[in-house]
Amino acid sequence: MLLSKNQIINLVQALPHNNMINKRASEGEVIFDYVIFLVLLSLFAFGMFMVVNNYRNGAAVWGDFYVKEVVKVINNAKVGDEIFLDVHRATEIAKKNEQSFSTIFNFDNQKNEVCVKLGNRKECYSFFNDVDIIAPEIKLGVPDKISGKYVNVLHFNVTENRKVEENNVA
Amino acid sequence: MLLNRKGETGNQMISLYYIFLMIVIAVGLTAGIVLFFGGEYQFKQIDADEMYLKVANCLRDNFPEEVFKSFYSVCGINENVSKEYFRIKICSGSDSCMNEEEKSRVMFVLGSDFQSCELAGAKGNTNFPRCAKGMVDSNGVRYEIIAGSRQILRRVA
Repeated sequence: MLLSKNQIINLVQALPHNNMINKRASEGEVIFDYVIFLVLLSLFAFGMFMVVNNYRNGAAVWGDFYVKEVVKVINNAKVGDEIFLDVHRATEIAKKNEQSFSTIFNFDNQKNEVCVKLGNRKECYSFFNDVDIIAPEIKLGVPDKISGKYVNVLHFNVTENRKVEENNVA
Repeated sequence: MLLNRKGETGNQMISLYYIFLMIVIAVGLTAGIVLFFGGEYQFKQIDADEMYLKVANCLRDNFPEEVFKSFYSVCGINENVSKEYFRIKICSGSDSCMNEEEKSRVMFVLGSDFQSCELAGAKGNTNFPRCAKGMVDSNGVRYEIIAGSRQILRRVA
């Protein structure tokens, strides 16, 4: 009985011994491939999350805007001024990012520095006007005379520089 | 052996395809976010303008001798912040305060490299300082003031 070439190949491949070796090797390789792929996927997802999270709800952009606007006001202020600033948008973003209102605006009179924290990181900028900022506080639901709406307002007083030891937080 | 090798090649090719896909998505997302949100709110020019106004008003409202003797306390400018982030130059009787080296004409100077304020190539570069300059009369003497800012936003974790 003579067998054709194709029949011989099919017979060899059908042998249980040959199949088992092949299957074991394939399973090991497939699992190894998947592990590497899953590790890379996790690293990728984590990296993307970190990048996107930093800009969540525009916290970085609005923090940048608010800190510089507050510094501009302080640089133009004179001793004795009482400042009221509409910070409604900042409070909304801080609330969405689960940040406490008491830590949004931080005034460091020692370093002449203002920091705004609306997300995970805070944005800081220095003012050159040699004054101190005292009693900063966020007043909630203050009526706005122009729009007629109720807005959240940052209030602080400008006094002469006394190099106060402690930081003031609003 | 031959069949097995072909199978591995296929698997590796698919892995490479996924890695390539991840890299493309990561680069695209990061580039999009950085391009859209990454640009800092440009404030150096405003900072420099405000410093210029502060110095000009100070010279106008006080005796120049007093100003130059104790600049920071008379003008109400914080010394540490100014030294770290600002540059100021006040000249009198000078053709070009920017390049003036003569000590008798330079009444006050803080910082150096005022030439970078006028560098043509720096106009589109946000890393260079921004400057404001102008003239002010005080007690019958004309003073030229240059104020520059190189302060950038500091992000703290």
